Amino acid sequence: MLNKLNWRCVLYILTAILGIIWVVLGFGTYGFWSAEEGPGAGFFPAIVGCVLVFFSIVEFIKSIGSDAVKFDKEALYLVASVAGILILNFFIGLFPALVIYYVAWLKFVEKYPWKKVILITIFYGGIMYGVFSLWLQVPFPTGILLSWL
Amino acid sequence: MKKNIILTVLVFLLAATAVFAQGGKEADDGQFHIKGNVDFYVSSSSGGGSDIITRTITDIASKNGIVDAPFIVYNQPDGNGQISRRTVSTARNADSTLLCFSSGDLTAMIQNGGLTLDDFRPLVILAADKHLCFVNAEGKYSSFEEIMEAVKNGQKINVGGTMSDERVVFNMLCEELGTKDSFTYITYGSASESIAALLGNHVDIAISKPAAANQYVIAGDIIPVLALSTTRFGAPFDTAPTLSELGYNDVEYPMWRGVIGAKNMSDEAVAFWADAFKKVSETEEWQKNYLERNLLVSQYMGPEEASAVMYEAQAAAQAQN
Amino acid sequence: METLSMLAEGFSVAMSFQNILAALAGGILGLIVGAMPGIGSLAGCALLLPLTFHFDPTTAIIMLGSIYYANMFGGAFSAILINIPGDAPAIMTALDGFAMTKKGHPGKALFISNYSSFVGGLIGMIILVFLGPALASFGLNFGPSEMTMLMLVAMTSISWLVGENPITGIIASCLGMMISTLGVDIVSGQIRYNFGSIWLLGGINFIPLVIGFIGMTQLFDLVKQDMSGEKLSYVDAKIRFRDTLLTKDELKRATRPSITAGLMGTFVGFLPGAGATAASFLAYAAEKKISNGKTLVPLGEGAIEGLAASESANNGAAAGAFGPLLALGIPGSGTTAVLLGGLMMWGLNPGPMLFSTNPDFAWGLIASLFISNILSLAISLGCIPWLQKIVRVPIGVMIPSILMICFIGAYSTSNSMFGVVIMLIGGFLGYIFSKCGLPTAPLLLAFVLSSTLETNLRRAFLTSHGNIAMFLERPITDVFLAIFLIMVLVPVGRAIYKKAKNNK
Repeated sequence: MLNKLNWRCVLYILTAILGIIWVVLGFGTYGFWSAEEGPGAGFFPAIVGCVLVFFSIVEFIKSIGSDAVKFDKEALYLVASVAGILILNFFIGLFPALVIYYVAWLKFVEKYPWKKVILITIFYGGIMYGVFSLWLQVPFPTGILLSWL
Repeated sequence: MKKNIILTVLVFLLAATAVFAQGGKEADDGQFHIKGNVDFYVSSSSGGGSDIITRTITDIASKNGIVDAPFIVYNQPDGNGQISRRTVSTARNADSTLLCFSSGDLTAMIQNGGLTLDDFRPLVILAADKHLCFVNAEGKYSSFEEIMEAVKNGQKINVGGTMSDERVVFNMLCEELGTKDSFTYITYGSASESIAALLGNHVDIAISKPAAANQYVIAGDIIPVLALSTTRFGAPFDTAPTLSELGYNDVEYPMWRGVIGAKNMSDEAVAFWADAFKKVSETEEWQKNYLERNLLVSQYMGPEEASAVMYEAQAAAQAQN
Repeated sequence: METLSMLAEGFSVAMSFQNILAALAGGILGLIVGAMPGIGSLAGCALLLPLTFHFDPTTAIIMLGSIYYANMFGGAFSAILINIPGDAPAIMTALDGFAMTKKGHPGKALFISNYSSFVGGLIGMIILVFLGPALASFGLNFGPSEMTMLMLVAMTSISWLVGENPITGIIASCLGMMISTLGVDIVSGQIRYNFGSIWLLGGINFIPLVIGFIGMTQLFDLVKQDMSGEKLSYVDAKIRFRDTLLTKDELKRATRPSITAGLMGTFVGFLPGAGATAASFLAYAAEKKISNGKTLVPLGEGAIEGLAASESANNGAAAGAFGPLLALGIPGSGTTAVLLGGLMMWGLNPGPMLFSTNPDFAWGLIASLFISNILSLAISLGCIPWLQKIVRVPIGVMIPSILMICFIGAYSTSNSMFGVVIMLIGGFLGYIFSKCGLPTAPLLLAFVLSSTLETNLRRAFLTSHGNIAMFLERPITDVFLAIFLIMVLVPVGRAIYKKAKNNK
């Protein structure tokens, strides 16, 4: 039995649990129906939750024994990129973090020569910085290193 | 050689972010001076009422040299505005962090819980506005007396309005009239949506501020039937009686817009900002570009007065929560 | 006839050298901002609004109109080229538009999108000129119960979008609806499903969610292609300019859907509070039914008809939204609300009095919409040769570039890292979903439509004091109810009939 379960089954178990949470909170805490006011804050979410639970179970049963879901190991590159950007962002701010990631990806993953890396970075980073930061005045976070300065 | 130039440019690019965040002026005399930029937070997205008043203020203040330091306006609507309120209340550069604040924001803050006015320093109130009840000119009712008559006969009345201050004033009205069971409040996203619902006869009464309803009253599509104020409004709203004229106690919940600062703001900074905003409110641009357009009269209140008004509104909002 | 002479006068106001120049500048800036993911038309208009303060009122309003309009054109660019919808209506555009790009026709996709936008906009404007005030007043009849039924029809037609397994579509829609219930409930003001977090009080912002679910999710595929070296860029073949031109047949295929979708979009645009997303989605779903089996490829796999329907409806709705705005002073969408603010800045109060008190303004603005429609078409057609080069950029450069713009775009929507977090969660969930065969488009559409459905459903119950008969007593709801029943019962009936036949 257990070896027939795959990631798909796990996903539908999770959506069913989510549905149950929505139903319980909708019925219990937020108010499903009141005599004077009609439907309450929990009315709509509770109904949606019920539908979700029902179809999650249907789909769960259908998924048992289906082909296993394989995740690509290449996805780890993205996970690492995102983690790197978030950590750098904490210290030096979002925009510098993204620029460093950009350079690192082109240099160490794509193995471009430095000259090309820097030209591309200046071109693209310049557009992004010019449009979002200078023109549209988006206040990007600056990170804790800068606030110490 | 070429490589070095490119590298220098890159370093410059990175440094630019730093300079952008740091730029500012140093104090050169004994008076109070702002260090660095002024962070002006707005708890709604670009284009909303709070955003417009903030950008008008900062525009006037910079153009007329009232405040030398550059303003940076942050629109942070996340968490129903609670995120920007929390950010300001605990800001580290307390003297130069401001928040655009209205009675609607206050209602939302109390509803969301966790923060009260004690977490801030009230600075000024710049404008105040009150509400009216409107009915459709071709609808079932043509005066507030008729509505009260219908209520006595067991009719149910649907009232449309926004989620924030209009809801509070509605509850106060119901309490005064004793009509909690006969009046149903329907929430709309904005004043124009609730007026649209009134025009389509989907609600019987719409509660709104005068500016949003002005056009329709002039055109004769809707009629003001009740002024939620202690005195009557000016034309074209002067036909609406106040509650005391109808034999009840007057009900009002003035909708004000102002500015508050962080809890730790120094007294010198409070004085500086109160003075700066006073100057802004005295400019002709403020009169023409903000007050006249929104059918408002100048309502400048300094820190003490503003604080009193804000705490009173907080008490009213907490009582309903 | 009076209308036409008024319009002609409007043109004479709008046609001055200075005004055309302002419209051109507004058009170019609007296109750029509209094409930036995360900025979208709402924030784009709000950000560009201050630019117009430097001009005299008429020029400023003409510029504002062209910014608004060009924004609608620009929203499709990033959806077609890099599969990141700039705003909600562009989700439908990305479905077929990006599929065409992957097949090596980015230029054609852009061409069709511009052409259909132009047609849809033109239809909307013509209707606006002749029937604007009348339709706007008709739109007022759409109260809570009518809107509820309309949204119900829209929700049901989501199922047409999903392929073989409708159950996964339902699950995805439910998830989308549940996400939309997070935060403060707008009807009662009650806080719900925030799980103690103040970040969730205001609910989830849509733009970062789309950037994550569509834009970031595709990075997983790109990384895989990049590492295996199977493809160097989105499109390896050389793209020549003449490949972007449409053949006669393609133009014909795009025209009919553009017209039907433009009409539909304009009508939905006139309804207060329905919006361009509902318009483009309903038109797309209808197109799927109308052109069933007659397209070269199925809708969703790069069909010209689907792309044309979505873009045309989107722009029809954009023009239609001006009806309630000008005639009644009611903004139909967030973007028109910003425009309303802009008009009021100039002392113009749109509303029942506008056409009698400021006819030159009102007609000048409408005339300028026609001009900006033509200008936007010209500018964006001129950009195609350069824009389509983007798809020739090596995947290795594309990956960090897309990730960077996902971060920046998600951050810019609310100026906080919360947007980035939403984007990342959306991106990873989107990847898991696609691996498990759960479609993401229904989730996003249900998310957009469901808050309108829920609020109106509850308002309907509140106004009628719990009396369910209001869904039957009103003529417009009856029409929608009939459509709804046909949509639900016909497929069921057909399935039963088929089964009975097979059993024989």
